[in-house]
Amino acid sequence: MPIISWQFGLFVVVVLAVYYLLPRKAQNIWLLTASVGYIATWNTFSVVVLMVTILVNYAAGLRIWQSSRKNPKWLWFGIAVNLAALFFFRIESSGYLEKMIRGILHITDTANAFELRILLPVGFSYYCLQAISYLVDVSHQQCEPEKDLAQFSLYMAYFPRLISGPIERARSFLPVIASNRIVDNEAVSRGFTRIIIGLIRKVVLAGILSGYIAKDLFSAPGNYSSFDLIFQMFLYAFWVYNDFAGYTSIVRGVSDLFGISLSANFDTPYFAHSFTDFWNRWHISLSHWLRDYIFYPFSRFLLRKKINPRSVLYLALPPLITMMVSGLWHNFGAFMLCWGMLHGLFQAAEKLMGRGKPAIKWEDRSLYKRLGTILLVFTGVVFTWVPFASGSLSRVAGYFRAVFTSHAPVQITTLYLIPLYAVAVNIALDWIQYHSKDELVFRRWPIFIQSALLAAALLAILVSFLGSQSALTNFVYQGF
Amino acid sequence: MDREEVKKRLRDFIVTELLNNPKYQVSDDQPLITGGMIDSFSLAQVGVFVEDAFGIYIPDTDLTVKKMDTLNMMTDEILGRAG
Repeated sequence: MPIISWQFGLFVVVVLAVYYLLPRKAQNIWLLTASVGYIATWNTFSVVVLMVTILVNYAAGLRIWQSSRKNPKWLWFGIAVNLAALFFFRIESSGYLEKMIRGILHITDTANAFELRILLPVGFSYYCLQAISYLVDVSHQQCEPEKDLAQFSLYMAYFPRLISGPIERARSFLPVIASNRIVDNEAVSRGFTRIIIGLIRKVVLAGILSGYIAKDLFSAPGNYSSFDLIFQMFLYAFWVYNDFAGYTSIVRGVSDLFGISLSANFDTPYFAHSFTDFWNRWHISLSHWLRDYIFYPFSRFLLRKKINPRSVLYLALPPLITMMVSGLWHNFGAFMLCWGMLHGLFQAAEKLMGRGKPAIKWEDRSLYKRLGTILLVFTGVVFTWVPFASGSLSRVAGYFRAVFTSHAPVQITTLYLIPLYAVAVNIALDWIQYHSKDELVFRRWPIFIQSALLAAALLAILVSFLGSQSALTNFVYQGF
Repeated sequence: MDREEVKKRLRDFIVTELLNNPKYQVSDDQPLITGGMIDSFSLAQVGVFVEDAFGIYIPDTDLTVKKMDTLNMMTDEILGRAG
């Protein structure tokens, strides 16, 4: 059941109506039932995988707590099981396993091909990371293991965040599940504002932008001029952002209606002043997971080994490894490894260039320098979207070859003004949130402005939804 | 552990090793991470410095902007763990 569908809207209304009538313990059971029911609407295989993952990690958490910290065998067992499952599903859903078996059995006849491929279970790569962080935090005594199986199951399966995050930490999420929730006017107002902003991003902005990005941009880049190729990558950058930020805003808003706050996943990422800063603003719950469980342990390991903190080794290796893991988490393809490497290299490069130079407060830099830095980082990020969007390294090469050699005529028309309006609205929306340091700043505006904005937003959402419904149901990050 | 002593050693480490400017005046409540002065590379260094200087381990999951943005916050974190 896609998030952008009337069925999901109806599902949320029914779940909420019953939820409000129940006491807290029964609310958790009801939310868990609804979550399992929700995942079952995708496929039953995903339900089975989710159940097994919950039971394995629940048992592992208890075992870790009971065993000595000096003998963390249960921690390694739990991590190994989760990673092995993630590895298997990634390999399998990428088609590598099928290719390998075909190769071993010398099967070349595609007409009589057998189908080995099963899809990645819905949300697995997200709740798998939640499970690993839970086990590590229990092992480090950062949180106690959850003894209530229903509450632990809800931590793993909570339906608003199940498909594509945010990735929650047990330390902060389990206490919320265990406590009474208050759904007051403030929570409802916050929730609906987030849902409206999310729909504007996903249905209106991403919906418009997706119509102007050529489907064969990477398969036939020679059909497009250099200008069109570059211009469309800039559109892609805004599309992928609004698509994922829109999803996150909607599910956070839905969760607010249940009195459960989900973590922020975006903070105006295209205003980042460095690549490190970008990763504190883009897919925050994933990048902070990677920071806490890969980047910090590895960096601190190097420092404890007396590696010079200004050395190339210290400044380059941790970001490179962290971002390569990030790439492989997204997809087991060389193109995603390339995407991760580029981000790692950019982070390393900016640290190496600033090595030994006195730090300057961001506000103390001139306006031109600040704007220039933001534009430079944004352009670098757009560059990295090429491998992310292309789907293979050969397509990346083909794209860049065409950028420099294409003789196709420029297709610029006044039609390009429409996506540019969408980009302008996106930048304005982000600027307001960035400047006020409050994503829900609109709620503090005068009531007549709020009313006018709400009416315009609802009209735009309705028109966009009716106009291009088929393109709106899926999210880019749903595939991960 | 004396609060002012902890803060002084932290301040010296930050201005010398992280900001590369020993004469820089860092106020107790100046946002260092959100102010764009230090980042996760520096926080890893702070974590290891605290281990060496005070014998206190700050877990990786606590090296965050919520807990380590200012000198006062870092000092609170260290003293809180010192008991």
